[in-house]
Amino acid sequence: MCLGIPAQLVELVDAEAGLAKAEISGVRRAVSIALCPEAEVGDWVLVHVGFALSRIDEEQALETLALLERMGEAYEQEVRDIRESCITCGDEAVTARVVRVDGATATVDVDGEREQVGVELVEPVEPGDVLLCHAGIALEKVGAK
Amino acid sequence: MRFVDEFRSGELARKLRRELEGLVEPGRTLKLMEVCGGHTHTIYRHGLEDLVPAEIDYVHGPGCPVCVIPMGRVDDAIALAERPEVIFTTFGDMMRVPGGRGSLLEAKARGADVRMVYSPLDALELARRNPDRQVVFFAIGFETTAPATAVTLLRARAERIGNFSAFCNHVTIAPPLRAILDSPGLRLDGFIAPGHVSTVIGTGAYQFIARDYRKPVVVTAFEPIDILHATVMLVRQLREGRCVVENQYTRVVRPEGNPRAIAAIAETMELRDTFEWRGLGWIESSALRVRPAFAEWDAEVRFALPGGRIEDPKACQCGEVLIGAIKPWECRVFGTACTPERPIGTCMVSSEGACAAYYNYGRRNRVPA
Amino acid sequence: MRRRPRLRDELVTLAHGAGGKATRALVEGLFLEELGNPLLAPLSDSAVLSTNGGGRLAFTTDSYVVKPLVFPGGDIGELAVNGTVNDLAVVGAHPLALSAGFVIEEGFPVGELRRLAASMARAARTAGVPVAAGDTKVVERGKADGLYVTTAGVGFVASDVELGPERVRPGDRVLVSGTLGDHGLAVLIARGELDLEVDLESDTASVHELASALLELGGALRFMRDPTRGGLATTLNELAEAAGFSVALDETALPVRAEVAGACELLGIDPLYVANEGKLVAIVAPEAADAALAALRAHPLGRDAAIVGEVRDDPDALVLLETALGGTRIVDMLVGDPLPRIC
Repeated sequence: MCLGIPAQLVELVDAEAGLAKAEISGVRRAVSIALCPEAEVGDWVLVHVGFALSRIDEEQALETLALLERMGEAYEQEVRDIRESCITCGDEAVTARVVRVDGATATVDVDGEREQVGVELVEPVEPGDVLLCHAGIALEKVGAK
Repeated sequence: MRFVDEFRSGELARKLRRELEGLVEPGRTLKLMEVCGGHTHTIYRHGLEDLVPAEIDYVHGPGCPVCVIPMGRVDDAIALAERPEVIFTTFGDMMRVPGGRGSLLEAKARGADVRMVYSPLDALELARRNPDRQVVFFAIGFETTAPATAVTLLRARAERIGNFSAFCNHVTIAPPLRAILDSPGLRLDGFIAPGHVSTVIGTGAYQFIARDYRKPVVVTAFEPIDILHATVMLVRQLREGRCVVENQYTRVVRPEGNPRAIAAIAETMELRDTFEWRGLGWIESSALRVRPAFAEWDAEVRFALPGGRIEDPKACQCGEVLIGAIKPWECRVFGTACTPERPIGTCMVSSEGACAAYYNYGRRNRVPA
Repeated sequence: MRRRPRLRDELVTLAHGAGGKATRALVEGLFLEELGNPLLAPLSDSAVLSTNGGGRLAFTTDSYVVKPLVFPGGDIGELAVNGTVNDLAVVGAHPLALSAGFVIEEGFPVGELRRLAASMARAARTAGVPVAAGDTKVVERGKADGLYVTTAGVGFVASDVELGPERVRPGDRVLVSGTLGDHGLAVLIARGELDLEVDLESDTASVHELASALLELGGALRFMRDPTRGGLATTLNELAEAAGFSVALDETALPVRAEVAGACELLGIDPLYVANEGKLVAIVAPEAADAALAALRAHPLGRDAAIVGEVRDDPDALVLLETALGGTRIVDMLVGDPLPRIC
């Protein structure tokens, strides 16, 4: 009952009687534009029980869609922020160069940033060693300085 | 289909879902009521309840103008249809609505000339082509559809078509909303307002909800993306402690509505003092009748109608479903005595009624009221 | 197990002819109850009869009450031939012959009747099936609405053909041979009552060759049906119930012409419930799905064939639609009748 369908006016049949033809996906039907006489051929209108109730504002439609495209971005940005805040927390393994060793923990350098990783699995390590790290743990030594 | 497909995009749905996940407070359920059969239909047809976080609960209010027609009025329609000189025209939705004596479809089986039309203008055309018959149009619907009937009446007068009349059962949206909001024990957090009614009446009509009842309102379009978008807008209002009427359907709805449509209604129809709504009882100033100036095209004036009143069946719990107090399956006759093929109450009668929509589309999901 | 529906109506209504729940209630609650026998009970498109010689025959009948008699893409004659040939084809039968019964209204133009008979002849030749027997009756003006046609068909079922809902398994794929909803909408629009202008034709055709191509798959082909009255939704609901499994459809995979989608949107109808007269639905084993699709697409009538869903192990035996948005909804049996007198 609430059926309102967007259709495009393709022909003015009888200006005085306010009758036009509207088309959706190749289907044409006579509609009355008595309630929406400013609509012209080429305009998109909302059709309900054989009447055009309103013109569809294409710009507004595009604006709405653009707004919606940006949704969820805040969430995605947050996820990105989390990942970037902990370089070894991501899904990937990261290569890091050992700067200093303190027992089972080493301070490593990744592209200029400093992080702490556990090195129990790859001991012994020395400054200059390059380690493959994931989730704060060094998994492998990949090469010496 | 332009302006339709873009608003059914799976990708946008996922974005909106993520947005909602970030906005809701875990464990705190928000009850959002929509009052339009079209919205109910969209929610179920596209499986939106699966997509939103569990904290969002869509409640289906009395937005189906087919469902709320009292049984006595259906009997009046059947009485009209059974007159041998009458061609009774109606929208398809009304054909299976049961009155006290069965439905229009059953009356047709007994020999009544009942015909389905897509528009009141089609009914007027039938009148032009059948000058020896009386064509009656079953005018139902909210303010979305009333202008169509209004223009048809104006045309009937202008062309002096004497064998056409309307059986007017148009209803208005604001009074039942108020009736729901006044219900004791009601728990609702926000409203998804009907987009197409608003195309006619504008957005100001819902001001009283925000102002007097302190509930946020978003005027919403009908595609699934639109409903998700409106959900985001409502949840944001609730989080930020705002309480206003917003317009999500900016591509069609203007704040002032359609003045020509409003004028057409005003010229041809007036408010009834009171009208009975199935499931909600009598509500003042909630329905329209044809004005005395157009009495010639008023089926209630032209024909004597039984005008009887029929009690809703005792087992019927539609009133509670309509205000969201219980869910469809919590009604004692849901799915057993009351099914889409044999509906007892209004909520099961039209495919856009809450119970019918749930039964037809969603009966595997059960989230308590 | 589902309860047999009880027929509580006192009068027959148009809903009883729609192919949905009301039709089923009428067929099962009245006809099956009165006529019930093991051959009729499966309510398949054709009954399969054993003969003394050991071979099997398929046997079927259909009545055609379509209005208008002539519509874009075909007429009642073509429909009557193709519909019955298809009912034989989908049970794996090679059609042997048809019979045709005509109930004609007094005053019907002879020229029109000849045109329709010629159309039937053409359809029969194309399908390779002769009309071997017939009957004619004339009724008074005002009855029979012009013309009603009933055709019956008989066909031969090869010994290695085993098709039926009981052969369907979870994991099996659902295929359709082409676009959905063309016939029902073409007829509705041809009626002229809804004042829609659109370039749509009925898809009426014999699917005999498509069925033969699929039969080459042997045991991997489980079941076939032609989705006529009530549409794909009704056919799959009946299958789901008979097989005891659910069927899940992928909304994005359903082939629907833009014009059909547009007209359905305008009228508030779902293409899943609209009749098809030149299509078949096939359930095939998953490993054979691609071969089945290729076989269908190799034929001109199967150009738009698609894999649209799969069978799921679920005793609820529902038809489910996975929407483009990622939600799920039920596709229930048709209630009421959106489009009367489509076939």
